Amino acid sequence: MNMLPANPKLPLLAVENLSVEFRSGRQWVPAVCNVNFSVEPGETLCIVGESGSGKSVSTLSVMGLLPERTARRSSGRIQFDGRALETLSDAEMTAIRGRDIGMIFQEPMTSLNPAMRIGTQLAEVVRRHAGASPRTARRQALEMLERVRIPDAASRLDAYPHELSGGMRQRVMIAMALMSRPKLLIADEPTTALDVTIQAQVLALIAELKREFGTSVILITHNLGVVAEMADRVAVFRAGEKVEEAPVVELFDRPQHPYTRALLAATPRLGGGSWREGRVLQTIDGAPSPSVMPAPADAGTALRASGLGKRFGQTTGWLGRLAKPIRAVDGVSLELPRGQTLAIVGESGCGKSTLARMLMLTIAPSEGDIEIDGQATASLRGEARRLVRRRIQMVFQDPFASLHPQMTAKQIVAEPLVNLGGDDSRTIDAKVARLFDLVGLSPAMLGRHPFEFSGGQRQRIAIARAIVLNPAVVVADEPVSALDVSVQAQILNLMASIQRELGLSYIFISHDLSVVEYIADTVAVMYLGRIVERAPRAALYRSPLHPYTTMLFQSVPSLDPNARRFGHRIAANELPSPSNIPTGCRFRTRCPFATELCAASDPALAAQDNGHEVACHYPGIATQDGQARMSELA
Amino acid sequence: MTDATADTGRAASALQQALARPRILVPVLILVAATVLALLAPALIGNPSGINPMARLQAPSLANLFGTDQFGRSVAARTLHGTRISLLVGASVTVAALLIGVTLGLLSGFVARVDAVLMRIMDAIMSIPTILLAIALMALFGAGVFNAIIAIIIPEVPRMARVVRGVTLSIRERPYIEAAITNGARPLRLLFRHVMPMTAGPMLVQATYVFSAAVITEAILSFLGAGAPPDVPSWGNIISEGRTLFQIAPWVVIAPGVCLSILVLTVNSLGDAIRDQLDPKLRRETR
Repeated sequence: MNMLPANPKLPLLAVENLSVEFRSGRQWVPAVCNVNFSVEPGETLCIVGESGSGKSVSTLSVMGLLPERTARRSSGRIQFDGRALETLSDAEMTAIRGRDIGMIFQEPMTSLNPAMRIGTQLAEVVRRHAGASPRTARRQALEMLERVRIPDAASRLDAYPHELSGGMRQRVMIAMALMSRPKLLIADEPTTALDVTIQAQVLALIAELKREFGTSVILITHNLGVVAEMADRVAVFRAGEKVEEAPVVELFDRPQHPYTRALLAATPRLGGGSWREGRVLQTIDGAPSPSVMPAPADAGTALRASGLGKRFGQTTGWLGRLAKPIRAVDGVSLELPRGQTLAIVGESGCGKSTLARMLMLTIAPSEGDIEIDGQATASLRGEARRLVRRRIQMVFQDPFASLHPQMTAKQIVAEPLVNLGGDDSRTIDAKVARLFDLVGLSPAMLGRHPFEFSGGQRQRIAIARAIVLNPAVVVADEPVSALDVSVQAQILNLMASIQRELGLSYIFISHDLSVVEYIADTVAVMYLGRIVERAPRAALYRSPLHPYTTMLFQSVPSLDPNARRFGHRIAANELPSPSNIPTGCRFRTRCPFATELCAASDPALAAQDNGHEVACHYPGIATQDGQARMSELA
Repeated sequence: MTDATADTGRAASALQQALARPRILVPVLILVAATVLALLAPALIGNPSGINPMARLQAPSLANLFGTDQFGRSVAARTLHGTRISLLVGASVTVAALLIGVTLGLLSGFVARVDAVLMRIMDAIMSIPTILLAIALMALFGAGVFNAIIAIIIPEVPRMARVVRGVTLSIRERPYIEAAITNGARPLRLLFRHVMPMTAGPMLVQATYVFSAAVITEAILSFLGAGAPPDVPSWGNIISEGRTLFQIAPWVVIAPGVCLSILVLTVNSLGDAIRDQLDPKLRRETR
């Protein structure tokens, strides 16, 4: 329930005509123009927008936290709790920031002092703002850590920030922001760096604490799913302006501004189906025409991996460390039919990136073999190993980091041809030009450097580079997760159309189930280095059989504010460390259905109906069907 | 190829941008002026070894701009000819240290097995004080400008190698290097096409420090009589010869001393300016 106060008085925070300018050389350029927004007591306002929309800048400006040398507030009146913030001194602002307004940032490590125990940091907030004694402050710190559901809170008081996982750190950040019982909590992309399962926990926690303390919340996000789960009211920002503001249900049911509509249309939602069924993702500039194309059958195998495993940290030699080996990947077998897409899904730390790097032959497997386009690679060395790369190429997550900053777009796309192609420079030029056209870039951009392109354009260059050799397999490691929603839709449409035209096979690694649904033919779910479930896309999305898969599905925020999911599931359970894998079934420590059997024996991946494979003693138990069956058995 | 022209075009515009900044332009102009003067020294000014017993220890005047020394030689001529030695030593040590240091640095940044051995050798060289090492080497080789250059290169190489190794180690973890590997780049191409260009900035900055260190070391060696032979005027041996007469004829020491300070200061501030220019964060702040 999100109840607005029955008798809304003055808003807690009212921002009028806020404009912010950035310094660019000797000039000041506007970054935010005449923005108005307000927050009522006890209300959650979500500010949505893509990167560069001014959503963070606006709120930082309200807090007086803009970097002075490079940004300035050129106009604006800010009323907070009856005071005009723009007239306050720095000292007064600092007092308000600590006491009345709490803040949570995307990366908690930047806001926590790495050299101070978290209990001390938390206690300091109370001591500074409430003048409490050290003993009381420490007791309150412990209470707050328990409130944010940190397991074993008493011992965590003495931990340093680096000893906690990302999700735990974000909880500590929330605890710290709430220590002084602020009237307003500002959360800037608080869950963007977290896995979906942890995101669900953290959002549920924020919602619960808000209800409990009556805190107002400003939640800044790019994720419409998070908005639908959390908001009372939504403000949509674009290019430094607020284009629309509405109560959350109204915004999702009847978006007024074309940009809002485009943003909603571009967001992939669960249950939308795959491109093979004729689905297209809407983008800001419209959508390509849909076409139905079933997955090619019996076209052979593009890639096969058998019994792949990777252990890290076994250095025990002369002066080497004696570390417990980490089994990052353990006994993974894959088969990718030609012209199809195999998606690998899992949380960070599940080994999916290690798996990708083994498939790319950039790290050597500890065991198992990889067969690329019919050629076994385990015994290949030197030049033969290098030449296999003609058949397998990769698209990386961060398009900026994966393009050489000093090379031109043309040189970047030509690189595989120069190394592996054996063409003369004229043929290379022609091929690069054709690829530029195929990925939708203008030939005029050939001579530009990566920093002159936008994020989406950079990923197009990376895709062009990956397909210029016409490889059998392209491994894409989270290719759209660093991109804005509207750009993400364009890149996914592009990948689908390339597959349609060239008959490429993709290994698509992602944590985002709604993206995977659009692109994949087969989905493999990884957990702690193993595949725990594998099925054709339709079967998996219809009836996931592993409880972990079900948990992943339940963690995806719905795009319907009338059907919020994150009610009360706030148990803080996280991926165990790969150096300390549980005995028996490795998921049992997080599984609500775990039994003695699960602790005793490790289930193998076993075939079910319709090509569905699952590694669980009780397949389908997390679905309602499964639970009914269980109770019958009992 | 058009790529090459695009590259040189970009490099040229980067150079233009850099030269538009006074912090870079002024030291560059000073260095250019010093080089031109040094090159033209024989034409511009008289024989630095021309003895004139009649005009011993004369104070600076219009005839003898910086005065004369105890043999009546023109201090101005000797100092200007000394500039040739200083610049020659600075430039050749820098170039050699760059070539050797960059090769060793790239190698140890890339090949773990070589790294351990190479870096221990570098540590060993660095553990001996530069001057002491250079003097020892001079004792071994015998005095002379060429030998001085060799003796200075050896202690400077580790400084360059360490910087390049450090940058290489961080660059090779970047995703674009991984991308280059998956694109089938051979090891040498990886090293020279993908990694080395990214080390250019820190390399350039370090080169300026090597240059000024080499100039100072040479001056010290010559001062101690272990560098340029007495018949070749170098700032170090001019100061050395003048030091006993400092009370009565300070100009003999002052001219080369001031030149030495200016050159070292210029090169060091050029290095600082380049470093700031390469760091976008610092650049914005100091704008």
